[in-house]
Amino acid sequence: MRVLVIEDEPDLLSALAQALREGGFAVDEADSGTDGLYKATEWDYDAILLDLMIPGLDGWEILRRLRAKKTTPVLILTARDAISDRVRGLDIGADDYLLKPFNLTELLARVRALIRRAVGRPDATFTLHDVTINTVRRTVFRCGQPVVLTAREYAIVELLAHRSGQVVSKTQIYEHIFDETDDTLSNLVEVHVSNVRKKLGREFIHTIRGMGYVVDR
Amino acid sequence: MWLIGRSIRLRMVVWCAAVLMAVLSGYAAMLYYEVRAARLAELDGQLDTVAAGLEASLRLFPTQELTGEDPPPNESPEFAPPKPDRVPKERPGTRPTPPGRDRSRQPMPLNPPSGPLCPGDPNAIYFGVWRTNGTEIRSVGMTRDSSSPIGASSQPVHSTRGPNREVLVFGPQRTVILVGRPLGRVEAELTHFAWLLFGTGAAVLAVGLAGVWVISRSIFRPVARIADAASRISQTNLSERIDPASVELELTGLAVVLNAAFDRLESAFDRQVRFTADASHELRTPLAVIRAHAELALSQPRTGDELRKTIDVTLRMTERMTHLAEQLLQLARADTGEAVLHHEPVELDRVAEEVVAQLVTLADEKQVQIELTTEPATVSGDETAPGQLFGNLLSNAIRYNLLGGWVRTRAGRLQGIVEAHGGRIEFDIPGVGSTFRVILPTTQ
Repeated sequence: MRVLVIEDEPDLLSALAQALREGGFAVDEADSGTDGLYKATEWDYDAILLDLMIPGLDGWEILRRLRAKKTTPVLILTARDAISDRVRGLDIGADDYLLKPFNLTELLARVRALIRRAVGRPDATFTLHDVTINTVRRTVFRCGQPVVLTAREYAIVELLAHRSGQVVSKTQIYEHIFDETDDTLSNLVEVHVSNVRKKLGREFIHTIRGMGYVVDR
Repeated sequence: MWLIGRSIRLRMVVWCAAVLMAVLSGYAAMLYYEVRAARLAELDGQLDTVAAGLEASLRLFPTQELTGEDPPPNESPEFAPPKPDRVPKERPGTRPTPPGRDRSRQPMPLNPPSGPLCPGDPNAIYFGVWRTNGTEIRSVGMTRDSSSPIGASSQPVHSTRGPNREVLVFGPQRTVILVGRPLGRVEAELTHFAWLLFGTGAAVLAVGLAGVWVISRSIFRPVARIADAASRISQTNLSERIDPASVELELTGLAVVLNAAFDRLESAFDRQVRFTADASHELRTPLAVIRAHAELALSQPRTGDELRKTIDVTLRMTERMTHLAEQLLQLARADTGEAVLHHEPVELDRVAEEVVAQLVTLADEKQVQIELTTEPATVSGDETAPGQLFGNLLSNAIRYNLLGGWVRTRAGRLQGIVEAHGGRIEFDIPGVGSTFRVILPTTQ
C-alpha cells in the first residue's frame, strides 16, 4: 500500500514517513502544497495524509483540486481544532480528520481503515479460498497454519486480495509496493509473486498473459 | 437618607413633594387669610353700623353730659331723650351718677340700633362710651375693665383683642365709642376652614406624589429595557447591538455609548479568541512532532543513534514551545497591564548587523546574497523587539527567496518622520520581489 504524506514540518514529516514504512506502507513525502498536489494527481496512492496549514497551496485548495480528478482517500492532519474547520475539510472531500498531536497507532489504524473502505472490504480480516489475511497484524494463514511472508510478499498478497477478481498489472503492483525512493527493477515483482505461489499454493495467484495477475474471489 | 441619595425615583418624589407642599401651603395660606379678612370685614361692618348708631344717639345727648361739665341750668329741659317711649328691656350695669345731677337729668338709655342685647348670647354685641376725660358715660355687656381705651381716632380703628373684635371711634365732643363682640363662631369657622384647607392640601399632595411615583416608573421603564437588552447582549451574543432608533430620544446617547462599549468588548474578545486559537495551533505542531517521535522510538527496539535523533527533535521542539510560552506570558502581562516595556535607546544599525550575522548561514544554504547598508539610527524601546522583528522579516526573506536571489537591508533615518509616534510596517509586493519598511519613532 502506498501513501503520500503532505506536511511542511520536516520533523513531523520524517516521523510520519518512518512510522508508516514500519507499518508496511510505501511512503512518498511532500513538504509543500504544490509538490503534494503534483504527486497526488500523478500517482494512484492508496491514501493521502494532508496537513491543512502548509505553504504554497493550503490543504483545502489541494483537496479541492484533487477531488476534481481523483477519489483517493484523504486523511486530514491538522492543528486547527475548530469544529468549523473539521466540517469544512470533510465537506470539501476529506475522508477522515485527525487533530495534532495524534497517536501514531491510531493514525495507522485510521489509514488502514480508509484503505479498506476504499476497496470495499470493511473487515480487517478476510479469507479467500484456504488463505486468511489479517491486515492489522499483517499475517497470513493457510489452512489455519501461519505462513511467513516477507514485507514485499505480504504487500503483494494484500494488494491482490483487496482487488480479488480484478486483474492487477505488474506496473500497478510495482507502483503500490515501492515508493519514490525505491529504484528496484520491475521484474522483482515476478520474483515476489513466484515466492508467494510457493508459500500459498500455485492456484492462489493466476497469471493472465500480457495483462497481469489475479486472485479469484 | 442613604436610599434617597441613591434612588433617582425617590429623589424625584421628594423634590416633587417639596415643591407641591410649598405651592399648596402658599395657596392655602393666601386663601385662609383672604377668607379671614373677609369674615373680619363683615364683622367690622356690623360693628361700624353699631358704632355709627351709637354716635348718632350720642349727638342727641346734652353737651355737658358728654363733656362732664355742669350745664347751664336753663338749658337742661331741651335735652330730653329723643324717644322716651323706647324703654330698654333691661338696663345692664349702672352708671355712676355724677354728683350734683337731679333725676330729671337722668341719661336716656343708649342701645345699639341693631337690636337688643341678649345676655348669654355668645355673639352678643357689647359697647362702651367714655368722655374725653376718661369717665364712662355708658357701657353695656363690657367684660373688660371700664377705663377709657386709648388709641381712638376720627377713623374707626378695628382690632382683635383677646377673643373679641372691637372698633374704636371718636364720637361727638371727643367721646370715645367702643363696640365689640366676641369672635366666637367666626373663629371656630375659620379654624374649621383651616382644617379643611389642610385636609384638601394633604389629599392633593398624596394624589400628586402617587402620580409622580407612577410617572417616574414609566420614565425608568425604557432605561430598564435598555438594561435588559444590554444584559442579554453581554450574556449571549456580543455582536448584537441596541438599535438607537428604537429607544427614546433622551436615551439615544446611552444606547450609543453602550454600543461603543460592546464594540470594544467584542473586538477585545475576538482578539483574545483569535490569539488563543493561534497559540493553541502553534503549540499543537511541536507537540505532534514530539509525540510522533516518542511513539516511534518506543514502538520497537531502536539503536542509540535513532534514540539520539528522537531526543534531539524533542529538545528542538521544547525550545520552540518555550519561546511560545514566553510570548504568551508577555501577552498575558500586557493584557493585565503588567508589561514592563523597557524604553531605552536601541541602536538599530547595530541590531541589524547582529541579525544579519546570525542569518548568514541560512542565506548561504539557500544561496541568497544579503546586502546590508547602515547609518546610525537610534529608536526608543525594548532592545529585543526590533531584533525579533528584523529576524522574522529577514529569515522569511531568505527562506521564501529564489535560489540565488538577494536580500537588501538598510537601517537608517527617514527625513520628516520624526513625528511618527507608534511605528508601522509598510510593504509593496510588485510581483517578483517585495519591499518591507519598518518605521519606528526615533529618540528625541
